Amino acid sequence: MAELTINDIIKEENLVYKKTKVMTDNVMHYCPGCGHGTTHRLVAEVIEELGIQDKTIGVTPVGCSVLMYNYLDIDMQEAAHGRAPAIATAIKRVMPDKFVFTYQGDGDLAAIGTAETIHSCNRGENITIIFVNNGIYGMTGGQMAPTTLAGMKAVTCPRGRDVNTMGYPLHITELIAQLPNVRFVTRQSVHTPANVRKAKAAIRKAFENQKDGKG
Amino acid sequence: MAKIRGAVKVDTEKCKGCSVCLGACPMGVLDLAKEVNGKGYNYCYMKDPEKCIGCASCAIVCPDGVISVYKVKVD
Ligand code: SF4
Ligand code: SF4
Repeated sequence: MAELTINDIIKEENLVYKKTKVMTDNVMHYCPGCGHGTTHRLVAEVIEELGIQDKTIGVTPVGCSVLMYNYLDIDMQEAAHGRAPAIATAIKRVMPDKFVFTYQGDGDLAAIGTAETIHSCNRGENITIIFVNNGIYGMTGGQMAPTTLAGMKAVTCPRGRDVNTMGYPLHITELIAQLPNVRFVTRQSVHTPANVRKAKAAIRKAFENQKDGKG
Repeated sequence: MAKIRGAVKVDTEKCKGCSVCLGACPMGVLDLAKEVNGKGYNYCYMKDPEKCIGCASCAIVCPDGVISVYKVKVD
């Protein structure tokens, strides 16, 4: 048999994976290798698979991912810093048949927005919160955040976080998991193919819970 | 014996040369080019195209979603 050339393989009928149409063609402003791009795409893929593109409303944070609305082809609302869960609560209560999610970094969710996060979870709002935690303030230049791990270096703690003077990292995921009204909390990563698949399954489950009214 | 052959298409102008895909590929197919794209990044290409099995591992970890994957069964 004649040797197969690359052009014989790269044909529309052989396509097994390409970027979902729920994402726009805009080039993302994130630094090379940043997990925001991957996480955006997972959210978009789940929205496509569930067929809820015109029924989903996202709430974006302040931080690097503030421009998420440029990359996902769905309705999105920008919130004041840390207030995304409050906005999402309002949207969901006014339009209960919509799928409402927030997408927040750790500076937004676990620092300035800690109160909104904890109280919306404690009320058991039927929304999905996607929390992207890099343990640092990336957009402003790499300063220490409440979530910075013990010993982890940042520009404001160049010798690593010292828990005696700077306190322990705030494990907000574990805190939220204690609340009786919270149905599903999980921590995932997107740095290997296997973890990307698991993270996607988790996002899908979170959206499905919303459909079943389970938050 | 049926064999799987794969190939990837990289949108080289949008690739940021982050190398995340290189580490994700189980077959060591990918590498960064010596040349750069319009943004000045060494973009990703198939160094060893014969080895690709079309598993899409590279595409699902690519933060910028610039990889499309194709796969055929060869008898
Ligand atoms: S993961 Fe994507 S952006 Fe990074 S080098 Fe590979 S193709 Fe380029
Ligand atoms: S499809 Fe799989 S084998 Fe082919 S380049 Fe991507 S990761 Fe490597």
